[in-house]
Amino acid sequence: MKRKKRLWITIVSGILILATGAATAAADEPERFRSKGSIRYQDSGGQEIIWDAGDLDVLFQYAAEGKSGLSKALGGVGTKLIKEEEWQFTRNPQTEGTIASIETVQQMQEISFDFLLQALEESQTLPAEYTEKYVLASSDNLTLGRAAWADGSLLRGNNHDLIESYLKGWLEGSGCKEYEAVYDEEGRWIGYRGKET
Amino acid sequence: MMRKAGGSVTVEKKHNYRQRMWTIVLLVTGLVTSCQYKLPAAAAEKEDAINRLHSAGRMEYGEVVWDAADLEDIYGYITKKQSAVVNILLQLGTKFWQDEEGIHTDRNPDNTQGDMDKEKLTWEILIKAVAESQTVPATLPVLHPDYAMGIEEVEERTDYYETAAADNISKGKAAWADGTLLLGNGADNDKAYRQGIEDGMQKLVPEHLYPIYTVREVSVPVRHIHIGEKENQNGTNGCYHNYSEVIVEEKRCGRTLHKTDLSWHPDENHPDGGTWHGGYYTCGNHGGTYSSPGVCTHKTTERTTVWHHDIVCGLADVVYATIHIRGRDTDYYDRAILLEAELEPGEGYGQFAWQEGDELLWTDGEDNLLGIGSQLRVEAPGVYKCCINAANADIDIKSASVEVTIAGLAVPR
Repeated sequence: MKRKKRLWITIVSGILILATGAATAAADEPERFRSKGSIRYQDSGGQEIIWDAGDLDVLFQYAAEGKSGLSKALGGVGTKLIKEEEWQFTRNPQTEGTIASIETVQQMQEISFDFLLQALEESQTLPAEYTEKYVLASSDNLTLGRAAWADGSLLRGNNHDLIESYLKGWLEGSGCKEYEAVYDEEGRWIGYRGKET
Repeated sequence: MMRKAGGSVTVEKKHNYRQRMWTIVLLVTGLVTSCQYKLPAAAAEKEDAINRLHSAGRMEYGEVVWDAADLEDIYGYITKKQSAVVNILLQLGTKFWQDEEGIHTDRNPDNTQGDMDKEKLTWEILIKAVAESQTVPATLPVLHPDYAMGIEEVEERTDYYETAAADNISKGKAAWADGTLLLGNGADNDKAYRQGIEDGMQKLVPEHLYPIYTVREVSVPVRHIHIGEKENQNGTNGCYHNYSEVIVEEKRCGRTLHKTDLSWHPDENHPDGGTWHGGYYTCGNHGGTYSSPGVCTHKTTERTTVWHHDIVCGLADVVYATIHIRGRDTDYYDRAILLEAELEPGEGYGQFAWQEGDELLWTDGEDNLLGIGSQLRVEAPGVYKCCINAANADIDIKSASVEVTIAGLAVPR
């Protein structure tokens, strides 16, 4: 205990260096933390001890960059943040978000990383409001050369459905009233043919 | 130290040792400060963040402990979340790779994730990756561009993939692109359907689709027909034996007699002063005098020559053979159907007078020779005939025909 007391006395008696202007906050912003300055001293063992309040800003900025940037990027890919009793997110295109991205410290406080991670995880899924009438597409459902994303997959349109529609039209145009699907030896659909009567 | 909900900071010496985690509470649980603070336009690099921490060591005063390692813990917490972002981005199709120039993101689904030090991924890179997570990679060559249908107003692309629109997606399907939920309306498919109807009416098959042919099986009996002439000349001609016969026929007149009028013809030279005439029966055709009514008894004899043409071949209704033609398109990708003909012998099969060469010949509808033998590979719809290569004139038909039609279409494999 004596050693600790001696150490503290050492701190307050003059080895203390207050560094002014260490805060990184912009001039027009209120100070973010009450701590400021830095303390440097060597302990009795000769080891340098540093307490720098600027480190709080460094970490704060590191976290803020992640949350703010993530929320903004999520907004760009269709996620809207909505403030009701609690923060929620929606991917319904018809719903307006409360904010475009996290901009205030309070929002940063209220919106957790895990919340944003969940939004990111669901960013290529079908919004619940659409699940009754829609399902996520596959490459077969897209026109050739057109692409979109669904559930982590780049859907590269291969004209499958389009050709299927064409075939149905072709058979009907040729006078065929009833047709049936044709499959290859591996059970894959490969076309249509008129039913043999 | 403890940060309260109201944002005040106090120092309490009696806090237990765990409260040295005040820094974690301070920053991680939301950096609880006044809500009017604006977040910084942060651009700190990840490596910078850890390198820019100056604090070091540990100091204690009574139960008050300040440890620079706590700052590193906070850094570690944020980094862990950053790492979670990386993992989700990997699930969403983003790949990261690095070279001498730095770290790159890649969303080409054909590329695999290379070696990557996740620790080097900064928020800047990750946020950019999130922002681009629904972007279609540029210059990604289209797979199977030959599947293009070339239908007017259908927005196909054959060089590089481009971002889809709702028109390009089937009805009831949805996907994401550039932050937009694309709700498929099937517009392109509808256009294709209409083009299909037009082409189907004209039986036009697009180049990259494969016609599925069909043919209705036919079975046609080849029957004997009689040859030769039915002539009025004695002798055998072909299947006919011609001969004549004279038929003698006696015919009675049979006409009903009619009575003539009785009349007095005065004659001064006749001792009776005259004579009576008529009063008897006679035939209107043959005359004659009959004392009583009845029919004419006059007879005539007629001689008639009748020619007979007896069939002497003994082959009436005999079937020489039956031609069966069938075909099945078993390989949808050879653009052809194999027609097969079979000549099923009948009871008169031995009557065939085969000519030199194969028994069966194939021709088109205009009798152009297409092939010989029992099989013919056909690559177009139309009428095809299989002919018997026999010299017989005594058969009713020498060929059977089938019509090959397109029953359906197959897509490329």
